[in-house]
Amino acid sequence: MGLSSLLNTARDALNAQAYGVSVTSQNITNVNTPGYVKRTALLETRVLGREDYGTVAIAGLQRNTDQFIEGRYYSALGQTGAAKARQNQLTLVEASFNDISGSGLSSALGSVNDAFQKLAADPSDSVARDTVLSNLSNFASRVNTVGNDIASQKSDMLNQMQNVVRDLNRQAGEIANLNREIVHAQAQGLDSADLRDKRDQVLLQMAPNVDLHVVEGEDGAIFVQAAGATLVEGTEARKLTIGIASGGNVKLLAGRIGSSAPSDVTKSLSGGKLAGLKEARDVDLKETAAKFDQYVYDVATALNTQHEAGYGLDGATGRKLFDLNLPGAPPAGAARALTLSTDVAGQPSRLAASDSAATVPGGGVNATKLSKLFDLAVVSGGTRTISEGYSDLVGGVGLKSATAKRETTLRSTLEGQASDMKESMSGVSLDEEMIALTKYQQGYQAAAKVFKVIDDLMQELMGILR
Amino acid sequence: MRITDAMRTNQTLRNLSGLRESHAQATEEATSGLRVNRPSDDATAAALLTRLQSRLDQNTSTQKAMSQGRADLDQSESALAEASDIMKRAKELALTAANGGTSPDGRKATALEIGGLRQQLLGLANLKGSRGSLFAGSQTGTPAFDASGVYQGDGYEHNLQSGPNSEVTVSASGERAFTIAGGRDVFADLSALETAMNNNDPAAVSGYLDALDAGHQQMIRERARVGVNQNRAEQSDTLLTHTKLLLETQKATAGAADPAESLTRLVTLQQNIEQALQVARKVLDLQLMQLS
Repeated sequence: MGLSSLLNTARDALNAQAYGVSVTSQNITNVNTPGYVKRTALLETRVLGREDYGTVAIAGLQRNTDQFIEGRYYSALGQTGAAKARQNQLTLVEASFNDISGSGLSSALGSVNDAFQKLAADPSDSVARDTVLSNLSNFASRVNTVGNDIASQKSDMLNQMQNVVRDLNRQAGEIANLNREIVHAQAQGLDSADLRDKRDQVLLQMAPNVDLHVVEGEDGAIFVQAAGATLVEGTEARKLTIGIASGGNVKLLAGRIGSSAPSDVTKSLSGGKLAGLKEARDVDLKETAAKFDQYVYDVATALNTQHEAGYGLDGATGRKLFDLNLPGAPPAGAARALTLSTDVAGQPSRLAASDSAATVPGGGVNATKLSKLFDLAVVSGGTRTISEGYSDLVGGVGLKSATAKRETTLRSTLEGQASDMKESMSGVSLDEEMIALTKYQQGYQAAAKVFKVIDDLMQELMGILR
Repeated sequence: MRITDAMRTNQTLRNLSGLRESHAQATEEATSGLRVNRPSDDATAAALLTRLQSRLDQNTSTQKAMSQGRADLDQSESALAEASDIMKRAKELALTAANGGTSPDGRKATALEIGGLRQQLLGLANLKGSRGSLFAGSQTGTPAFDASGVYQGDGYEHNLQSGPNSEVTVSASGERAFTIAGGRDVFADLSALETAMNNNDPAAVSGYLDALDAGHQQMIRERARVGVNQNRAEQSDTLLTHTKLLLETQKATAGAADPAESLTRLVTLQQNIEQALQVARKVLDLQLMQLS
């Protein structure tokens, strides 16, 4: 073996250690980059004919990943995304039914009862009559506010779901493109680590929004499923769309290759913000809105029936307190439709405080009956009083919100664990990198020393020749 | 397990944010004095609190309405007491006038006084309370009696809710106190007495003594009824006050925070955060890089 060959060995060693420093510095640079996977420089020995004469070769780099751990992490992100989305929505609904501060619907109902009792005390008092009308109108408007808030929240959620789907479709397109580039790079024998990082980052953005399943093929391309439907297959992405089913529920449709008719995959949607929003919209809010409509309908009907039995100051009877122009079969839409009846609006004298025309104006029997309605079981099929019925609603919403909070806490903990597992596998440890840096630095210095020794030897040889 | 920098920062962040969340909750509890600030804090307690609050509201409304009714009862009672005195005075005058020794002029003068008493009684019977004419039944907008003493009201009795399942009558019946429905038409009797005195007819005057007695008695009876209702109204008021206290106690038990407990928790959490922050700084500083 000649000295000049030894020079090549020293050169390879310097190159290899420099490569190690380069990979280490890449790791350090990306210590806080989301989705970045730690690289390890792969070095191997290069044997040149004889076992005592070898050098080092750069075999590329390795991304420290594990498909199983990543799959678990995506799934955990999806479950947390679903729980958080549901909890956020339920927190909003909860605010509409929070009467603990004493400013909610319950206090509006209390004011109505108070006004009826005042009217009963002095049926001919015009101020008491005005108070009844204004408190009834306030109650109706509070009810409308809650009803409208729920409706607009439902429509906001639909918009949010559409935005999420739009993002998912765009991201699926990006993944399909990255798949193409990765397959191409691998086929050419090029490094695809950065492309893979980029693809992982896109997956990380998608995971909190939908339940993702990712499988990597031999060619390096990944197969992505969302809500059980194939979203990306090789270099091809399919589109998700949001639609409305006949009952008003949201449906998720997935496009199919070779078919213009998308398939309904709603039932398979099990994670991500999409699932959380769907659960909150089509189960929680729907149920709450239906119960609230029923409650409002029951209260309005009970008050109307009692009021219709009484007589106004003009001696007329059969007048309603509330109008409910419902869009369909009762009680759907009652909360949004409730208004002070045109029978009495602006006509306080028409309030039926008396129970007969003969006892007008001082008779207050019907006003007392109206106030006593608040102690009778007139809602929930005649099983609960007005305040009990409302407290049931408050309790129901509170329970849902509390369950969602607990679910979010649990899911966040699980996400933390999955994230730790992923980090433990793929994250950058500066300690390790510092050690690696020192290792490669020393390797480089040693290689340089080899180079110097060879140089010295050559100088020596040259001296003899001279 | 391989521990990376991100794991350390994430873990520190998770722990700190958990502590911050607990601290925020404890602060809310300590500053509001409430354990339950929103339904999800404790759904069952929130439902109970809503029910208790609405019962408290109802209780307060009933008490307010009843206090108005009680004022009417008090006013009716004193009006009836005065009316009884008038009848007593009328009877004394009638006794004097029935006496044969009274001169015709004396009878005329007494007649004048009887006329005055009748006007006074009419004024009392037409008194107005919080909801209009006190003794006119449901016809509160018109005087109970016209100038000639004819009753313009009705037999309606005004009842008010005194509790969840009870009512109390807060009106006195002008019909029973002053008209034939109660036994004697007192205004007609006083008019007739006045006429008999003006006619200088002692026999006729003495014929009205029993009638005056009966009129007096019917006012006393009505006053006694009012008295009974005053007592009932007062009892209801006491009961409502007790119920209010009870409901407030229940509310506090269901939703109020124990001040000592919440303050202790707040202080403990504050210390926890301070410690966690110090530990976090040390943990995050702990790197090989710092040593080289």
